[in-house]
Amino acid sequence: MGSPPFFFEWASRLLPWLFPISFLILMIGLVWGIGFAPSDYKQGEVYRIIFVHVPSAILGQSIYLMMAIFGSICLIWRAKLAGMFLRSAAPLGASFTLIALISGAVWGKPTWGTWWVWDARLTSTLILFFLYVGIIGLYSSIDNKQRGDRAASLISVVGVIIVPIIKKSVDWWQTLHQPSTFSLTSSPTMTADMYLPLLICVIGFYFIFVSLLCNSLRAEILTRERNTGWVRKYLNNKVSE
Amino acid sequence: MEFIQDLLIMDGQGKYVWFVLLVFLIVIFLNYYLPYRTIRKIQEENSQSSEE
Amino acid sequence: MNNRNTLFFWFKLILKRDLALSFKKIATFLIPLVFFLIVISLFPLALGTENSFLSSLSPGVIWVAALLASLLAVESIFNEDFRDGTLDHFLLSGEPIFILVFAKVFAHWLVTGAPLLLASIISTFFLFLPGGLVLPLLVSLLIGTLLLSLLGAFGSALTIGKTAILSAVIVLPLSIPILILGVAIITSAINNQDYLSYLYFLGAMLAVGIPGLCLATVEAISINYD
Repeated sequence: MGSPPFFFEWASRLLPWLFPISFLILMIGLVWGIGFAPSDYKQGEVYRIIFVHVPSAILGQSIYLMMAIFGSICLIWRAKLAGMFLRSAAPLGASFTLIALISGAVWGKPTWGTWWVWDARLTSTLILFFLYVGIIGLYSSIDNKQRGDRAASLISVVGVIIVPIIKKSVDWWQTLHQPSTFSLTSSPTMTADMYLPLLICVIGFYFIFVSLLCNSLRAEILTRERNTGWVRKYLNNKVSE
Repeated sequence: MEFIQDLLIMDGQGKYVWFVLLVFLIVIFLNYYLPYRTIRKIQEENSQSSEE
Repeated sequence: MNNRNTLFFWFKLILKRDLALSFKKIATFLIPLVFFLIVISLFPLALGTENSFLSSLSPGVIWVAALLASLLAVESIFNEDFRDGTLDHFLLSGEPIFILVFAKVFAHWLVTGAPLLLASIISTFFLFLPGGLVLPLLVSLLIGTLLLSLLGAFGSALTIGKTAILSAVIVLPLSIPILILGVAIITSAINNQDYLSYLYFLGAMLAVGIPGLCLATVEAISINYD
């Protein structure tokens, strides 16, 4: 499981299944949520952004955690695949966090009248985005791939320890500066008709993440192991197909 | 028909919801396309060098 | 010299070496101090000079300027030593490297942090910070700048030989809690609340940060030697 060629073959076989399943689940969740879930008492129709906003935010944070876990594996056991995971997962984590930010802002305009609000959750998400960009910038700047992996792993592990501190301090900062606490994306009280499609969307987002991750990892593995025998054989087989 | 109208416009809030969905689709597509292009490039380079 | 084998000897040695190197150029003291003052001056220039407005901004602005000055100053702490091989000696020495790293960072902080404290007093005049707040300001900055230098050293170890701005992008988000806490110390002093508990918290962060960040910095340095 831990060796690049084994994972490559395994991922190549899974992908033709993973993408369709992901799209199916996403379609079910999104169509149900956006099309058929009941409108909210307070926010009307615009709350439907939640079906994209919440899963993106959840994924943005989980991916950061995953990167810390695989980062420690990379540092302790020097597993190449764990390092490659970071390079594939970081852009995905940044993307989901960006979606969460944009959807949060677009949600805010009709609901609260402004494109941005410095509430605790949005601010933490913004900081998370900055952290992702830092990691991506770090490993992009290092030419040696193994070193880049280890540097990214180290910053992920240290970051994941500091992130709860950041969250706590941002929460506290918000109570200092906004005595009238209103959360931009205070979720409407959810009935089952809203909760279920949301859950399906979250699952769908996880599936699409895994699909995109395998896709990206395949590219990363091929790039790095380009000159090895098994890659040459694979590519020549591909050509002759 | 009225249902579709209602779905698209959503009492004037449809533009926000559909915009968010659009952003989501673009980002997902880009995350798929860029590695795909990398793999394509590697395959082309390989077939070029084996032709030489 | 029969104390060669004690860790404290090596700590003192590196401390003295780095201090001596810094003292050679007077610029090492002046540049971070002046950078700090320049950043402070930018705010009235950009936002207007009204007295009460500036004094309401002052705790935050002073802390942001201190943040930027500390992180940018410490950015090149390992570059020279990496290039001329001194870091190799650190790694090969057999002593716990994080103590040696702490010696370097501490020496650096003595040279850049102390002028920063002086500059912060000057900036209370530029930004009309009420006089009674100078003490909480200084104490919060004292602990804060050391913590920031440690954090900055970690970022700098990750980006040896790369541009400073990359190091800043990596480290600045991580330093946000320090910023929030530091400003809170001053603003709670403005409101005549007890700011000591926040100060203790900052001190606790320093107590954890010294071993923690130094260890992380050592790991980051060793990555460059794979």
